[in-house]
Amino acid sequence: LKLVTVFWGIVGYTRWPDTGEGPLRVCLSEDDRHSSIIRQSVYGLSESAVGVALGRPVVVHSMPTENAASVCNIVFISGPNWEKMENLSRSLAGAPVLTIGEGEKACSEGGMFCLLSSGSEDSEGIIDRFAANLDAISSSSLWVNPQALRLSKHHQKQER
Amino acid sequence: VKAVRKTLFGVLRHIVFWSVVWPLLISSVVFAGMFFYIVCAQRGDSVTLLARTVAYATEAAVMFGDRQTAIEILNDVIAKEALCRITIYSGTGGGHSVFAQVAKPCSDAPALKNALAPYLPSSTVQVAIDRDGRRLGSVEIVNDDAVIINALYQGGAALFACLVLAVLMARVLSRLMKRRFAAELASLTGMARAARLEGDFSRRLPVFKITEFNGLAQDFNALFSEIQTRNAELKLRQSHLETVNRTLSNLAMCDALTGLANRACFSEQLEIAISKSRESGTRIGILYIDNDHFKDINDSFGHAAGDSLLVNVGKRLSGAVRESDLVARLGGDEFVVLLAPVNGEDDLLHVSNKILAAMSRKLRLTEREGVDIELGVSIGMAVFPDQAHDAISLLRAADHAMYRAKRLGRGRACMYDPAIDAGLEDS
Repeated sequence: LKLVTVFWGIVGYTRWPDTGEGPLRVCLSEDDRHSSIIRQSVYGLSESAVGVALGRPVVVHSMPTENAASVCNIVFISGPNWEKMENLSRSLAGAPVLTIGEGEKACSEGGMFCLLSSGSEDSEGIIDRFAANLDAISSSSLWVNPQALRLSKHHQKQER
Repeated sequence: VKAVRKTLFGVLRHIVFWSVVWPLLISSVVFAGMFFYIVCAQRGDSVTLLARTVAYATEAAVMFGDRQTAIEILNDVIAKEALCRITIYSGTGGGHSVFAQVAKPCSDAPALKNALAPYLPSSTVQVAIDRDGRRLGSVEIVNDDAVIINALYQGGAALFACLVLAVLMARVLSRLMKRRFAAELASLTGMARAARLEGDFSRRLPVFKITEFNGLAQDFNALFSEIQTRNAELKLRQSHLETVNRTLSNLAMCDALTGLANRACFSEQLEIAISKSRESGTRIGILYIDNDHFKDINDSFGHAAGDSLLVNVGKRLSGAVRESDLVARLGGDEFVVLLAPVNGEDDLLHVSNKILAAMSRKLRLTEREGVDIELGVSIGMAVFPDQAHDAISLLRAADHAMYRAKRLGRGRACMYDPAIDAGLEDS
């Protein structure tokens, strides 16, 4: 699976309660490869199938240090930075912000979706599967289409 | 063209049979057409529905670009459904590419398929994969026509079986109907025939189940009982007439006073006896008997005494001869006895002597007490064919002989002698 397709697929199946027709704000870290892959994909988004499904303009923001809930609609935390998720998810608890991380930890630390790869660094931009943290999704005010959940592996808490 | 005469039942059976079979055939054809149309329409609908379901199920997989999941779903579907191929195209507008595809070999198309091909619904169905009104891709399904063909085969076979069954039932029904009609009409015609051939009017028909036949049968019954009653009346009248006739003939043949045969009866019996005698060559004899004192007694004692004399003489004559001999009163005081058969003159003499002996006893008149009268008779005898050649000459010969007996002194019997009596006749 392509990282970009899965990322925008999840976004396409998510609805925010307050943002009407305005652009989706995506907050990305500055320094890692996967964030830059997503950043680059925004420009080619209008031609792709998910872009069609999205039907909304997308704006990229850099990750704010605080008050992320007012700035971001979507937060992506790449693999090595999973420890940031714990702080972030605490501050974003209940807020209408879609949190997507990399690795099992991302889901167990309060992220809504986590993208899972075999771990080989060569497979850049390719992931094996993704999981959903149903607790986090249901406690937020976001609505996620069950079609997205169908394809995801449900994260199980006891793995912690 | 040779005209074939058919029975009423044959025609009825024919009508019943075809009146069942024709509507059945027509409705079968209509039914088959409707069946074909409905099967095709339903199959088209169900394939479209299937394509929509596939589109919905694979939407997320297309969205996430998850080929593996998409193929898994498609494999699931194609394993359960009668489809040849499922293809998912991704992309929009003109630039679409095959995202996932599964296929399995189609069932062998039966021969019927080629014939029906123009009428079958399109085997390829395409539906879009939409997300919020925006197109992600499309699903294309190639349908396996064998499903329809098989359904048509099965439906056709069932229809044919029903048709055969119905035709058989129509045959059985028409036979039953024929039998029912035939039984009633056969007893009707049987009765009419028996009446015609044997004059048997005693038969009666039972109550028939078919109203028209029953009406006819009851009319027949009424007619027959009328005929029977009339026949019985006729028979009764005939037997009455016969009785009357017999009485009349008795009156004609009998002498009312003595109960003996009269002249007419005697002449008839004599003719019969003569013709029998001619055939068999036997002899017959007659005795001509005349009372010697009748006129005197009639004059001196009255008619009643004369009558009782005649009755008494008759009784004594009957007592003196055989059962088979005929005693007749020709009129007045003249009696005659026909003896058939006799051997010769001796027999006649013997009988004459018996008669003379029977007459020798006097008769006491009951009307006049104490008066006894004599019943003396004179007898003339003649034998056929010795002394006569027919009834008249025989009677005349006996008569002549009797006159000779009277002349010779009464109370005796004389045998006819042509030498003496013929001359007497001439004089």
